[in-house]
Amino acid sequence: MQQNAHAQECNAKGSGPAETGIDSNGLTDLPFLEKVLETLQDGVYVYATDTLRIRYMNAAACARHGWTLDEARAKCISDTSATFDTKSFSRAAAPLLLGEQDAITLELVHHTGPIEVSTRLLRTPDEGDFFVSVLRDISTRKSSQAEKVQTVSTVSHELRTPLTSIHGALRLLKAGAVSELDSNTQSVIDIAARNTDRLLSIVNDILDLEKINSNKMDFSSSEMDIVECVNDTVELIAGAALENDVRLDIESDLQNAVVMGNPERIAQIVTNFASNAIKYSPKGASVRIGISGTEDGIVISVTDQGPGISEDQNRMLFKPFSQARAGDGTKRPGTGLGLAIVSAIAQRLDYTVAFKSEVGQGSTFQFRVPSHLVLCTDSRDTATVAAS
Amino acid sequence: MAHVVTFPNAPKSETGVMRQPLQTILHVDDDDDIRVIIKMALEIVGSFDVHQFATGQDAVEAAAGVNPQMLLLDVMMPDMSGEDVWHAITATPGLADIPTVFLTAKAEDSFSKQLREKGAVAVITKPVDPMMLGTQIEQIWQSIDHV
Repeated sequence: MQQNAHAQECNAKGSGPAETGIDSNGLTDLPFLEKVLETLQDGVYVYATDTLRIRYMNAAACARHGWTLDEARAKCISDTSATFDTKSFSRAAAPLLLGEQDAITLELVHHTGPIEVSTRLLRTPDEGDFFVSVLRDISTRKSSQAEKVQTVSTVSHELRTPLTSIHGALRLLKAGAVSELDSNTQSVIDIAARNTDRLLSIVNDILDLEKINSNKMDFSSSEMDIVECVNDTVELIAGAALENDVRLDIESDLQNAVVMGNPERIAQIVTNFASNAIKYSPKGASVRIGISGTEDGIVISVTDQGPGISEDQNRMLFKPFSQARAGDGTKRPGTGLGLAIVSAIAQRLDYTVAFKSEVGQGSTFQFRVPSHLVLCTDSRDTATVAAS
Repeated sequence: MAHVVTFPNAPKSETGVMRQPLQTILHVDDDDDIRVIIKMALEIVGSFDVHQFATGQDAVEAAAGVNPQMLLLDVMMPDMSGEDVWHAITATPGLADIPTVFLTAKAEDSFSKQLREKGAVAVITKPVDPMMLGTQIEQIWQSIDHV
């Protein structure tokens, strides 16, 4: 809100942003707030919501594209990047226009390095509506994040070998393969085994994330049936659902759908979504896994009846080592890496990840395989298949 | 937790011919503890005869004498990798076509794909569930077309 007020004030100062260009010597002639804008190291872009025509760019933004402000004002925001896709932009910006969201923040990899673009809506009574985007270079942030992950990953490699032995040894003990156990011994071993499993999954998550960051993960695509892949994946986690007294329902309006994709990666996304859903579900609840064909591609969604996530937590969700606070305030076990992995995988595969949530109502996490990766689909009347 | 991928070199037999039961397995892993666990898993839980070696060199020297029906090899080992051991043993007369199963860490999935393409009958992902390993090995054995 504060940002909006500032921008508005700036506009109200009359003459419109800087016909004078962006010579730093020229700053002395500018109104105070405009000087502030011109001094910012983040790039600021103001452009019409309908035509996307640029109204103003600050010095940092102009320098980035090598334009003068006059040149910039003859262009549209779509001219700022060769890969700008107007259709996906409109889709991403729609929640701003509908008033559903205050700000939209996207992380992108630009040829100059990783950037973050935050966009808000500025409504003016006389000049119409504008988007105000702030572009920030996040390469330092990214590289320190990568360093952190790299360090942890080195440690994790060292942890995994002994953990594998402990895991195996406990499994043999637990199953009574070594000797009969009394109930006390059994319960102590259960605790050890459960926590070893947890440690192993943390270690594996860390290694996965590092593998994605260092481009060692396999993202090769081939023709695959995504409906079958989702069904198989859900079958694999049916056990975990049963243990938590949660029902898994698959609802698909497609009989099968051949896409270009990587089954292991898709299974990884679905597993992450579904295990989260199971983890946050109350006992006796059901988790719905939806597969639907839309004009824009195939949407796989996982909906739970858990406590939900409040909006202020949503930026935490996909960040490594962070766990959003659930609507009921209770913390769940986890590394805070699952959704970071999902988001990194989705980005590589060109899938869009989204989530909807309402405190007290549950959450839906979904990803969309874009239509250009969908080869053929065979729809059917919606049928519900109980998986467990 | 471990999962097995068997293809494309392990076509289902359609002949229904009674095959020789799997008895002798040659296992190589440089980790002492893992060897103990795998041995227990395959001898106590399954009922196989497991010959173990800590290094590829030892395994290659002993291979002809053991005359195993299957190789179970850790992928990541110092000196000789699992793949090196595989090539060396299959160069031994009489063991050229021996079915080979690799044990690999989760982080090496693209590598396990390559192994299958090169002719490994299966790749088992660690951590191995010792209570399931015997069954997994038996299933892999059943899925191979034996000559």
